[in-house]
Parts: sequence; structure tokens; C-alpha cells
Amino acid sequence: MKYVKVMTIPGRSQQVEVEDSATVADCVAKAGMTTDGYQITLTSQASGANANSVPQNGDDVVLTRQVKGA
Amino acid sequence: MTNIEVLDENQVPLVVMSVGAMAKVQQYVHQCSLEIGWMGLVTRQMSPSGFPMLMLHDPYAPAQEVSGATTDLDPTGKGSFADWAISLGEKAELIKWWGHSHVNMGVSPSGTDMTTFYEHIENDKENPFVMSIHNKKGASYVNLYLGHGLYVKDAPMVINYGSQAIIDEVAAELSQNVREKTYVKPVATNFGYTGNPIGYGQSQHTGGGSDRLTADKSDRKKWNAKGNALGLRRSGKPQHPKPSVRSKRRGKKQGASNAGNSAA
Repeated sequence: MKYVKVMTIPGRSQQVEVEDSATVADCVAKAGMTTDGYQITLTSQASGANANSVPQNGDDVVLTRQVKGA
Repeated sequence: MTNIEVLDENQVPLVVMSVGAMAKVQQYVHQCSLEIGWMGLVTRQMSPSGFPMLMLHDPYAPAQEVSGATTDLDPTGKGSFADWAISLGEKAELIKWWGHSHVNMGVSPSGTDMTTFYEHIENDKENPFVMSIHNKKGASYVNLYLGHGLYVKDAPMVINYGSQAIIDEVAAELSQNVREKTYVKPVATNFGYTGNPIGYGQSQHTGGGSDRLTADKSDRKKWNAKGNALGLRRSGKPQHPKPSVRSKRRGKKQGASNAGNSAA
């Protein structure tokens, strides 16, 4: 088992306990959130994270989308 | 059916921006000739009188692409607000403020601004969220989401100019070093007598002269006697003897001899 914190910025955050093999999508679903329309950042992965990436124990999954002002 | 909850004025939190945050926001707006966006932290506090406040602080301008009329914050990548959120650790949950500049334009929110505002609310319907818009003229506009579907358009915002440390320091200095000036009623005095410590409008001293304010009649008699001996009248101006012609001449001669001595 591993612990992963899922955050939407700005928004809320929730820590979830998941299987070691759980992907980002699994963690986000367990937190009651969605990856649809969001970019994904993983603390243990400098770039290229996506919904199929496998977070490590203690990772943060940060969900963001472009913030547009005009 | 639609449930409408009417809030009492005292239930709406006051949006308070720290002076440090305001200074930074002003510089964002001042230094950027194009639009600029930032995010910041929001914490809940209660005023000493029990009034709810939302404190805006620690704004940060992350990686973004801007134009004269748009600001698009990068969602990922180096310097993005995702990066910044990770660097904040636990504090990332406090990122509830999105602000941007309208440069020289009015500060009313555009359709794009409102869409972004609603998107943020969808992310977290339970907690407050603040959107602020500023321009180079110093105007600002705040939309405040209170949670539970309630939001305030054009909410009032105030600047907190002093930290509690400064407030406490000033209070201590004032308490220790500043006292109110007190005045005493004028009493009958020997005008012109240089030894008389009391005069009209003279304030009460806490130093050596103050004990004389309580001088009794016997003291006054002494002063009067001494004053008469020096050629002073009971009241009015002191009686100075008119200088004689002789003494004037003597003064001139003395002055001339002094000048001669100094030249030598």
C-alpha cells in the first residue's frame, strides 16, 4: 500500500491510500476527483506525467488547468 | 425549488490584503505593460471584535504567457503554479486567490475572467475563493466566493497596514514613553522676578520646579521681599534704572579698549 496526496490547484486536496500498483487515475478516482481537462504533475516525475503514471509512496498528484484572464 | 439564503452583513467575511501583498501586487501591475496574473494564499482569521476575515497574502506570479489583454498561467512545467504549489508543501491547500491586471482598462471582470472564476469554484465548492482584478490607476475589483454556492460581487477589500508585531511594538512605546500634557491654573505670581518658577501658561513640570507649585504664602512673602530688594515691583514689569549718559559713554570707551585689546 502507498499514500498519495491528490490536489487541484486552486481547489482542494485529499490524501488516499491505494495499492502499490495504483496509477494516477486510480488515486484521483479514489479522491473523488477527475483528470478530465486537467494537466498532471507528479512530485517524483519532473515532466511527462499522465493518468497512467504510477505515483510513488508519498507523492503529490497536482491537477491544474490553464488559468485564463482577460 | 430554489433555496435562497440571505446573509446578514456580519456574516460576509471582510477581504483583507496584507500591506506586503498589496505592495507586491502594485509592483506586478506597475512593472508590467501587459496583463499579468498571479496566485496567492488565503487564510481565515477573526478580527479582535469577532468579525470574520479572509486574509490575502504571499502572491506569486508563476510562468505564464501574456498579451495586452490576456494572461494565461501555465498549468505545468518549470515555474508553473503546479511547481509553486508543490514547493509550498502543506500550504498549497491555501492557494485560493487568483489575481490579474487589466493594465489601464477598467477592473470589471470579462467573460473569460468569470469562466475561470466558476471553474475554480467547481474544483472546491466548500471553501472560499477570491478573484481580484487591478489596474495601473489603483482601482481594484474583488469577487468573493464564500462556499456553499454563495458569492459576493465587487466585495469590499481593505489593506492591513500593520502586522501584529508592529502594533504591539508601537503600543508598548506609547505606553512607556508618551504622556499627556497637563496644565495648571495660573496663580498670583511675582512677574518679572526671575526666581519665580510659575508663569501664565506655563506647564506643570514633573522635575525640580514642580514642588514650588505648592509654595505657601510664606514662600511668596520671601519672594516678594527678595524681589523688592532687587528693585522689582509687586506686579508688572521690573523696574530697571535708566542708563545714564555717563554709563553709556563708559560702555563705548570700554568697548573701544576691548576692540584694541583683541586687535593686539
